[in-house]
Amino acid sequence: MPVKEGYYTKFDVMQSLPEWDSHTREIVQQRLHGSDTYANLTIIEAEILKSLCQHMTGEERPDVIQYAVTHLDQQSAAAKGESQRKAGTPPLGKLIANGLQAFELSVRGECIVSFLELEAGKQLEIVQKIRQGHYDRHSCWLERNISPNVWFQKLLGIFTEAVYSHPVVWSEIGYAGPAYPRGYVRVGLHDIDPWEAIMDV
Amino acid sequence: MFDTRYLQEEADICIVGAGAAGGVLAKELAEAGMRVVVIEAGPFRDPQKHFASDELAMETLSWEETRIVDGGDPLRLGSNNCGKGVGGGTQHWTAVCLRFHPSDFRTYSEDGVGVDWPLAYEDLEPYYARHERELAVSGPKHFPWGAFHGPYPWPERNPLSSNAEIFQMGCQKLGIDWCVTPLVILTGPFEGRAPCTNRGFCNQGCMPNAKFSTLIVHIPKAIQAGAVVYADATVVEIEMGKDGKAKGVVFVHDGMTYRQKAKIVILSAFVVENPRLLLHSANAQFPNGLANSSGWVGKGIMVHSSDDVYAKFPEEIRFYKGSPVMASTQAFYETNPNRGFVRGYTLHAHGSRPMSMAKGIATTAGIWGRQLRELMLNYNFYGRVTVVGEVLPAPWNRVALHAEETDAHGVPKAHVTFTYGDNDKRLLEHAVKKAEEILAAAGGKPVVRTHDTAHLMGGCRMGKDPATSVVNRDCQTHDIPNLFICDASVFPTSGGGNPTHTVMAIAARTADAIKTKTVRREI
Ligand SMILES: Cc1cc2nc3c(=O)[nH]c(=O)nc-3n(C[C@H](O)[C@H](O)[C@H](O)COP(=O)(O)OP(=O)(O)OC[C@H]3O[C@@H](n4cnc5c(N)ncnc54)[C@H](O)[C@@H]3O)c2cc1C
Ligand code: SF4
Repeated sequence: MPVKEGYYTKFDVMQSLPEWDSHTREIVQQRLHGSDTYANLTIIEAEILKSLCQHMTGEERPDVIQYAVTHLDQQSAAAKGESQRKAGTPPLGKLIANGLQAFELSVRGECIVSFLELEAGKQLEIVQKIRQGHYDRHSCWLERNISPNVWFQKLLGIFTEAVYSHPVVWSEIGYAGPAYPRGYVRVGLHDIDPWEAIMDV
Repeated sequence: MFDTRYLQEEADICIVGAGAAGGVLAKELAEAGMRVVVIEAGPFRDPQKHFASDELAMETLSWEETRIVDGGDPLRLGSNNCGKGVGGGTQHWTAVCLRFHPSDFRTYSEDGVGVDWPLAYEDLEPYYARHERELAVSGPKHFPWGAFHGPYPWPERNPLSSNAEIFQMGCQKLGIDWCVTPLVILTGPFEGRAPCTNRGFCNQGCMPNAKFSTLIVHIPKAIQAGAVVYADATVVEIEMGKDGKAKGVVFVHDGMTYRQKAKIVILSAFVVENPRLLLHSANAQFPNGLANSSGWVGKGIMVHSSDDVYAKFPEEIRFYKGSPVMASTQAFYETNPNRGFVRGYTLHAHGSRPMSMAKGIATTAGIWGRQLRELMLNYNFYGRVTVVGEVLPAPWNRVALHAEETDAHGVPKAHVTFTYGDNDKRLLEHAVKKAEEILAAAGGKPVVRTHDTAHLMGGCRMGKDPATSVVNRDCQTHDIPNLFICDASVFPTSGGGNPTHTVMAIAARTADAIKTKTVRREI
């Protein structure tokens, strides 16, 4: 059982599963059984992305991180479109893959070893440098026509949407989640339905 | 099932897009006895089967195809703007149902900015009133602003969500007028539909059918009256005859290309797709795109500035419950010369689910890593106020065809450019400060501001002068008499409140105009 840090250590949103409609149930249950086969990513890329996900979202539970990386893989493989893409930015699949190459090259250039071989503190330092624009003029990014910051933002957005769609995280933050057909009865200030999270005392 | 009843014939009316406007037009014109075909790019969903109470899964309700965004403030599109599927944006809208104020139609005369509409508030008033009755809009007995002061036909929401209660407390402390938001969400049983169960998933599609959408209201009524809906069918071109009139449209369904002939073609495919279709359908007679003799097709697109302010409270708020918006103020809607900008805005108490909160904070407020997680651990302690701020029209904010990239059907992708103007920015800063003050007065500590926009409008604006506008007051293109454009794209200015009540009022008025013109054989 993952360690929780929030206010609601006894709450498990999945206990309400029988109360949800079957479509929602199916979608949420699938997230708990995150697969580790990828459409686009190599195993090494997936491992780098897992550490990046951890640093970018502050999430540490392996199951949640695994789900976030599979979600990213699916997004970049899907033909459905990206809703919007900034002018001058390559399509998602290319952005992620080429960005990962540029990222590894930057790390190797600076630290000699791969990102995966660095200790956590050093890894975080590198991620912070990306954010601060440290690598913006590095040739390994420029050659691939990728802005480190755009790459960072894209990963962060996709990881975040996955992490906060995971029922383990819902339980931790005390979000009572899907509610069809039963809905919520007590909605006003200080009103709590019996199936909602109760704070630890 | 792909019902091709009208495919071999010439329909009276072909409507492209079954969203807020397309749904209203289909119902009104089919009920008038016209042979109506609606062609909709997305699926025909059954809310109970295809909707889910899940943020991530229901992003599919929106137009997810890639648009290239550009400019000083590139837009976030997809779930933030456009619907896809029968019902369009009304599948995943919040159902806030506000009328525009009379001043919204006269910004040039009153404030020297934007342009005046060729319509006045009074032209839309009967349609606003009719929809409020027909759709069972719930709202306060007294609405303090604009020209309409209530009462709304159905009683206001009760109880309020905790986030709305906080908003109310903050406003009361500061002496700011507020009210329970007018919503097209049922507060009692109506036409076989049940009232809202407060599950909070309006933006993911309402499973109990308590929230109005054209998917569950207008389109079924249109079908009942004989209209045919082709779903999963993307229009790729408007076909023109040698006589300079529209002949019909070309569309793709399941990899096959079809043609639908029609006496009148109405584009209701929203702000990005209408200009894209018009520009892409250029021919020898209309080399710059259809209906574009003014050069205004695609120009003057607007959003609402829609930043959010989150404040942390010492107690739990739990803003995941209740329909997201239940309390609002329009106290800052009209121009006040002392504020340093013209026009105004609406503020809403606006709940949120975890995914959109976390994603908004991570991608627009620069908070990530442990800081993001720590902030989200306090999810239940946040209250939120959202701005809906007027943005003035500018020709450089536009939809054009992308020079290189095309979609799966070979149509150039949309290239959407957007940059805020100075007045827009000053207005937004004022609105954010007011939102912070309201939350602070209620006992919260404003901690995060996220940047966002909402509600695309414009791109095929209406006007009296064919040299500076695309359609006339009846949404008929100046250049092609049997080609109409009717939806949010005809707005010349954006107003400072949610626009869809106005979109639907314009659609109902346009339907009346088409009926009259057809009887008089003017088209
Ligand atoms: C999250 C969210 C919340 C909102 N909340 C509110 C609110 O509370 N109050 C409010 O007033 N407004 C709200 N809106 C705005 C509202 O959704 C829009 O104003 C409204 O839907 C616009 O109506 P429309 O008819 O112009 O376009 P739409 O409703 O978007 O319909 C356009 C339709 O055309 C179809 N289409 C596009 N291209 C083609 C093609 N080539 N072929 C065939 N079909 C095509 C699309 O699939 C779509 O179904 C919200 C929007 C969003 C995204
Ligand atoms: S909150 Fe009410 S209106 Fe919104 S989705 Fe739930 S039941 Fe429907």
